[in-house]
Parts: sequence; C-alpha cells; structure tokens
Amino acid sequence: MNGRLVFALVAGFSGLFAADADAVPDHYDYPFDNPYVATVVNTPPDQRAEFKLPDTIDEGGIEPFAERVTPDVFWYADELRYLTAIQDRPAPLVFVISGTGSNHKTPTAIALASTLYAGGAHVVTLPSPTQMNFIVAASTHSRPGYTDDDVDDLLRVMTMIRDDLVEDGTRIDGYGVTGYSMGAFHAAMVGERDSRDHVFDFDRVVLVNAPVSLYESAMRLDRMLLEGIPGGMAHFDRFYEEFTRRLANIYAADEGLDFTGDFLYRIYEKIDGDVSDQQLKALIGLSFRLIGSNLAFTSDVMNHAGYVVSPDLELGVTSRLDKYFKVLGRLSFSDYVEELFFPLFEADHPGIARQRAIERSSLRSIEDYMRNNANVFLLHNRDDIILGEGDIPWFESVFGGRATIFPNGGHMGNVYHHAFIATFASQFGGENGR
Amino acid sequence: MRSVLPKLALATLLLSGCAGTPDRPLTPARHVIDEIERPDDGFPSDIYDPFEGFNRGSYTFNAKFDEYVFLPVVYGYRAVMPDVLEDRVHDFFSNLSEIPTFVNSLLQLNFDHAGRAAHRFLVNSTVGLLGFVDIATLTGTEQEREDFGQTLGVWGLGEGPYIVLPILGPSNLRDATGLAVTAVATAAAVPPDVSDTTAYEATAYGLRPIDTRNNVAFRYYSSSSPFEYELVRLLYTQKRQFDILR
Repeated sequence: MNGRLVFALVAGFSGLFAADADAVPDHYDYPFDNPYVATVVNTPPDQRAEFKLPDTIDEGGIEPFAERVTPDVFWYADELRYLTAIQDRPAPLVFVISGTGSNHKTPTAIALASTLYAGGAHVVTLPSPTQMNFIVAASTHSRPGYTDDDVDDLLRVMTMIRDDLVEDGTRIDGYGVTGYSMGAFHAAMVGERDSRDHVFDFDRVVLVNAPVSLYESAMRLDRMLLEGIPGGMAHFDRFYEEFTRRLANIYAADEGLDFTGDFLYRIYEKIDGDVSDQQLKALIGLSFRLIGSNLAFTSDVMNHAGYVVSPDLELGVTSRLDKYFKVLGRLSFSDYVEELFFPLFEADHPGIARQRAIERSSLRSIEDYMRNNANVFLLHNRDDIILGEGDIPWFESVFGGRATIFPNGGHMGNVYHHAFIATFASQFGGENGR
Repeated sequence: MRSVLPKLALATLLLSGCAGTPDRPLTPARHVIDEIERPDDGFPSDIYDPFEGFNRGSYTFNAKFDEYVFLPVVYGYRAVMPDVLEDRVHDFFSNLSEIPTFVNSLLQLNFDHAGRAAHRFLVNSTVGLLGFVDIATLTGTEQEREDFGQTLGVWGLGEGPYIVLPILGPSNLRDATGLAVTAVATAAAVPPDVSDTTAYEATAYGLRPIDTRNNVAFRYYSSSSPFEYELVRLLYTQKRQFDILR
C-alpha cells in the first residue's frame, strides 16, 4: 500500500494521471527533431531527470540450469546476473528488461529502476534474453529469437529471483514488468503469457519504445549499416577502427566501457554537429552489427553450430577470437537468421513453421491482449527509427488513451528527459492499476 | 564439400594461430576468415599481440583479482571513508603525479605541459593545503598527465607488442618499460628514511592503488561482448597513440 501511495504521489507531483497518459506533457522541450541525431546523441545533460541510485542496490546471480557446463570461453558468464533494489516495507516488485544484447546494468535500465525505486517499488533489472550472459546461463536452447522460448526463459528467471527475494524476507504486494526497446517487446510477451498462466498477475505492464516486429526492426537497422558505411562493407574493418579511434580520443579510464549517453554526446559535440544522416545511420547500424556479432558468436559456440566457429573446436580461456569477430562483422542479420537461427530453431521445434516464428516475433500476435487490458501502457516516439510506416497509428489504435507518443526523440533518445521519465513514473501510478 | 581435401586445407588455415593442436582435422565452420579479403597493410583493427595466450591468461587473472581482492577492498574503503575524505585523498595523489608529469613534459620539450604541472603543484601544495584540495582545477588550470611511456613514444619509440600486465592491466612493451623506469627512478628519488617507513609503504602500495581503482569505472566482463579483450586492446592502444600526439 505504501508503495502505491508513493507512486500516486510521484504521479500527482508531476501533474500527470494515468487517465491523461495519452497527452504529451507541456514541458516537453526535447531539442532534436532529426531522429538519427536523437538516437545517437541522447538527452542533453540539462534536460535530464535527476536519478538517485537506490541505496539498497545490489547484484545477484542465479543458475537456472545448475547442471549446465559452461564452455571455458564463457567462464565469467556462468551465472545470470541481475540487480535488485529492495524497499524495507511491503511494495510492488517491478522487473525491468533491458534492450537488445544489453545486460542488467545499462544506464537506461538503472535510470528506469531508480525512477521506480524512488516511486516506492522493489526493482529487479534483467539482461535481455539476447544478451551473452542470458544466452549462456539462462536460455534453454541458447539461441534467442523464438518468442515462446524466450518468454519461458524469462519467466523461469523471474520466478526464481522472486522466490529468492521472498525467502530473504522481501514483502511483495503486487507485480509490474517493464522494458525498453526489445525489452519492451519481451515485457509485453511476458505480460500476455502471464495473463493466461497467472504466476504474477501483473498490475502494470509498461512498454518503452517497443518494436512492433523484431524481425522488421532488425532488417531496418541492418540496412542502415549497409547504406551508411563509406565505400561499402569491404571497408567494414576500417570503419570499425575509425569508430573506436574516435571513442578512444575522448576516452578516459575513469569512465568505464560504456558507449552510451554522455559519451556519444561528446563525440557528437566534438564533430560539431557536422555529420550527415548517412554517417549517423552507419553508426547506429554498426552498434547493431556489434550486438548481433556478440549474439551470433555466443549462440554458435553454445550450440556447436559451426556458423563461424568449427563445431569440433572447444574454445578456451586463452583462445584467440579476433578472426571470429572480423567474420561476424561482415555477416548480415539475414545471414544469421537463415544460417544459424532457423536451423537451430527447426532442430528444437520440428513441428513449428518458420512463418509462425516470424509471426510470434511481432506484437501484432498479441494485439487482443494489449487492446483489452487496461493495465498495459505504452511510451513511444513518433519518429522512432526502428518502426515502420503504420506502426505508430497501429499502436495508437490498440492502446488508445494508454499510449503516450512523444513528437520526437528517435529511438530511446529522450529516455532520460524529465518529461519522459515523469510520464513513465505516472504510468506506474494512477488509478487504473491493480 | 564431401571431399576431405578442402576440409583439411580449411582446417589447417583455421588452426593457424590457434593455441592448441587437436588430434584430428576440424570440420570447418560455415564462414571463415579467409572469405574476407585481407587489406594489403593488414586489418586496421589489428594490434600486434604475439603473446596473446599469456595476455588472455593475464586478463582473466586480473578479472578474478579484481572481483575477489581489489574491488572488495575498494568497496570497504568506500564504506568507511566519507566521500569528502575520499576526494581529499584522490587530490593528494593526483597532486603527487604532477612531479612525473613535470619531468616527462620537460623530457618531451613540452614546456606548456611542464609549466602547467609546475603551476598546479605549487598552487595545490600551498593554497591547496599540501595537495589535499585541487585548487588549480577550480581556478581553471586543468591537469595533463605525461608519463615515461609517452615520453618514449614522443621520441619515436614504437609501442611494441601489446602486454597485459598482471594486476596493472593493459600495456605494451614501451609503456611497461616506462613504468619500470619510473618505479626505479622513484625509488632512487625518495630518501630511504622516508621510503622504509610503514606509513610510506602503506600509502604507496596500499592507499594509492585503492584510490586509483576507486576512480576507474571499468568493470571486467560488463561490456556484454565475448570480444571484450579485443575491444580493450584496441581502445588502449588508440588511446595511448592519442595521448602521445597531444
């Protein structure tokens, strides 16, 4: 009860109630109307909400498959890591699922978690099912991409963590789930499954910059690299080297290896805004390609699939990996889907057609759930680059007053903006919950 | 592809550069490095790393040392020290680092950086209460760091092979030499009746590394990439090249 009260206070303080969630707040002044700039540059420091790191924040680890032998090359990923921030009183527990290829402690996951914690909730942050640690430690088939399997894996992990927390004395009086980018897709899918299975009975499901179709968004991001890279893909390695060189030029050891937020903002400032859309697209496409390389390599090794690593080879702690990295840089998303994902998928599920897997990688497959459940909310940007034509109108028709669509922000560019965060907090408060 | 010969040939190519030699030829992967055209002057992202096996072992050791020894000590330090005192300690060590920066700036004939280091050291050691408060930065004189590895680089010495030093982390032959020379020079410069005291040893080999680690946000295996070693190697090398040009 207490937690919900604080939620309501946060909502009230920012002048927003769930009933008005479709209205973009008046004080929304995010400056970048070019969605590629917004995506790369993110939120200018003076427009950011204040985030206070929860004082109870802690890192936990579980092994959903205790009998699994982790390959030596992934020795450090043998248990699934997650963050918790627990209140000292009864409160709702909210899970935050990270975006494509991202771990449980990205700046975005921590910002959302801090906001929820400040609103009175217990919070757990989880890596994406497409992230290396998840694939190694928590994925049944270690080849993410088939939604039903990924939801199974997520719910297994969420249940284990919840049980651990309860055992440790955490008092939970409700549940919520949220995620950003691909994590929003997973939050929706988890919410839909749970609406039938009733393990958690989520009071709130909030989707932040969700893709409609994972498959189409991935193809879109992949094209950005192909179209944007100077001289074509034969120059991939040079392009990558120049990108890291630019990072290194402003890199300071005290900042850690985090290529998001301020970091890109400062690169952008250094190049003085004199950068073409094509360059920005290439940059976005490159980061997607690097994430894809991590995913493909991990899946390949875990399954001995022989995609870029010989199926007979057991890579160890001291094995050289750079050649795999170089090969993967040149392989497209459709190469991965056709040559690695689908063969593995078909071996696991011989009775399920490829078309079915693609359909299930779209939120359109759970349209009824999102349309008919008043506790599912959406935050989005009208110019999000991962969406296609017709996606925003579809979201608006499905969510109605439960969608807040900001006029700009690109993909996740405005996520730290005070108005965006205030809306996020309000979607977890309001009267429609429970 | 049913014939054994191309498999053998591919497997041999695949194996070149691998640490161990298995008993039988490996089934080639679907995509191998040879399908990529190698630029005449090598891949731009390649770093000379002939001791990669050792280096990767060292990287792994450092990650474990960090998790089980270094970070717990740093977190303990953070827990007992008020933030204000942490900052004072950091400023104090930062002020001491002006001395090697001054010397190396002179060796590089970089009088701007030398002057800046001297100015900062004088201001911070006096007005800044023996260096515990970084007044110089507050009054607009930003810190530059120069070390002996950079000095060697400025005078044209190549970086040599990449080396991951146990505990100390990414380096290369030139920078590691620089570190060793600096350590010897420091030992010679500090009078024995100071350097032999427990207080000096606790400060130099205890508090200082703790302060350094406390101010480095890097965490091993937090990049979500199985290619973190390659990424760190590339970024370290590029960063040093940039520092030398500056």
